[in-house]
Amino acid sequence: MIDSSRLLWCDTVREALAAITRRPARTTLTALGTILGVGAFVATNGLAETARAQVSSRFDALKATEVRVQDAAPDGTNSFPSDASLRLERLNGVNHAGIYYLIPEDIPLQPRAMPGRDGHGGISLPVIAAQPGAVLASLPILRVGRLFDNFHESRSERVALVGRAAAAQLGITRVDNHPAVFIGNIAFTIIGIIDDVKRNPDILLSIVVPFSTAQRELPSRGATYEVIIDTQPGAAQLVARQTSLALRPDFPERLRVLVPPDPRRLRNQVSGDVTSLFLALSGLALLIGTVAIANATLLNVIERREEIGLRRALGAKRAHIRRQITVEAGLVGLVAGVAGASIGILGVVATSASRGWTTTISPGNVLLAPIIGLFAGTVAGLLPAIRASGTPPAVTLRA
Amino acid sequence: MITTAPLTNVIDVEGLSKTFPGPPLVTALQPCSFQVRQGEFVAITGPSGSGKSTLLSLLGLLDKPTAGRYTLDGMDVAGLSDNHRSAVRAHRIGFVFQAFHLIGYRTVTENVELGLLYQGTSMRKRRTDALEVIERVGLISRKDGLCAHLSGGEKQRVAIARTLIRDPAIVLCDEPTGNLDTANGEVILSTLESLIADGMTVVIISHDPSVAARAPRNLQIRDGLLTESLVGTSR
Repeated sequence: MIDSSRLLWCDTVREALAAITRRPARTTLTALGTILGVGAFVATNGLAETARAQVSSRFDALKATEVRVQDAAPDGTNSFPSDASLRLERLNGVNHAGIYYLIPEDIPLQPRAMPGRDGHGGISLPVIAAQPGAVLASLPILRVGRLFDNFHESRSERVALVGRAAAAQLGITRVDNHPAVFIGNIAFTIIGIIDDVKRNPDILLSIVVPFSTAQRELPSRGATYEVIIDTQPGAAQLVARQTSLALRPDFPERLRVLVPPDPRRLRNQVSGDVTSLFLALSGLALLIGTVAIANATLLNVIERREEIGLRRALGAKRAHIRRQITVEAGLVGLVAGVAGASIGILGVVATSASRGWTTTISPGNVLLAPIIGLFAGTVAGLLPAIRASGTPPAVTLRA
Repeated sequence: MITTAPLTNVIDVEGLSKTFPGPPLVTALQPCSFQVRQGEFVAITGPSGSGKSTLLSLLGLLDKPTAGRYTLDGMDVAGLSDNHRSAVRAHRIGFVFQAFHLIGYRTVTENVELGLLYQGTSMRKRRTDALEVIERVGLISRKDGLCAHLSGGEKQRVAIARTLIRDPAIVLCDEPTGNLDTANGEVILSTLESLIADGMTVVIISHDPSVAARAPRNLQIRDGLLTESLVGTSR
């Protein structure tokens, strides 16, 4: 009785490991394509994730919670209802809203801390008329004093806020002594100094007076009216759709609503574009890597014809040869996957560090890399393995 | 599984021939018949291209005959499938090649162990047996050296050790001294003769008359036609 030819699996792996480890230079060259492919896969995915996180944080920082409404056919008159602020703040998702406009510059105004005081009489500063909601929608930070509110608005009080830069020009540093500024011949009591704003930075250079007061006391012909709305995160799109009807149910087409792109959609779009591009690139790199490892393995097999013939002479079946070559190629792919993942991670970390980004790499992608390498190597080894096992031993030994 | 029966003849060939498909058709070996008994030392001689290597490939089951019957160690092996021929090679046939066919990046011990690899032998037994036969061929001091670094004579001794470890029914040698100088060739022939003395059956192919003269029995092949001549005393 003769037993069949047998090759234990542990011996297959041992033989494959010997073939790989005893010739490191050859193994490295064989694996190079896959290293680059898997490295590109990890790097591109890592960069995509990092960039996505970066884009997200940028968008999160600038959450689109702002809606602006303009007159679609400006004629120098106010096309908004005077209770615009009230109407809009009733809408779900609206924090603050109000009309504001810049007093036209051709109207002679001389803001002064004290009428006729030397050194301040000729200062020219912009004057903004704004409803309290418009001021709040600009997200102001007060240095001293307070903002005007609906009480001042409803009573058309002669009060004013000054921006940080305007206050410096006027020489005003405090409001507890009730300083006044003369706009024309009308004195406005300054009740607050605005240190900073998140929106409408021109406020910092201006004097802001209640809308109703400006309408009554100051000329407004030729002004460009605008409504600013501060919404809750994610509500801007919905508020924008309702604004025209809320303000001008009789003639909504008169108004033009400006809303920034939906951040989620934009972010997803950007992320999707980046990811698709990177995945395509890494897929291409991986394909090239697989072809490279297949080519290198094929050359390797051709070079090792004698060894393969010898193994056949010693009793190896065709299946044993196929198995060994495939396992060798798979192990090369696995090693290449680990090496490629390491290089890819280093690339992502280096790129992120150079740009000051926070590195974001999914563990799944990193763990997937060796598996991809193993798969690519195994697939790449199939054809050479079939070719190697198909050559008659008598021919290979004669070589 | 293949069943064997105890027979005196290790090799029994009848009408064995090999024709390579064309065009043109090439008859490398014309129908031949001969037997080789257990423990016999047979030399097959002939000029280059006469069909020696073809006959060796057929005897070693590295190739399939076009026609004829071939019984090896009591088994009809001429019509075996590829896998069955692998099994017979793994367990019954040993080879010594002119080009040694060692794996250069593996050590002497690992190369010798290869002889048992496809028998499914455990690694531990392979190692033990390998060291034993390496010692027998006088290379124990080189057991951990890479085969690529050995001399020609040492390489052929490793190849012989790789065959010995298998305890084959027959050893087929293809120009075993062809790549060696006279001194090393003599060492190899002496080693082979010691195997024969131990009862092993050896068929040696050579175009060197001095090698053939060492064998008691000569088979001559010319243009694919085998003829027999007794040189010495048949064992």
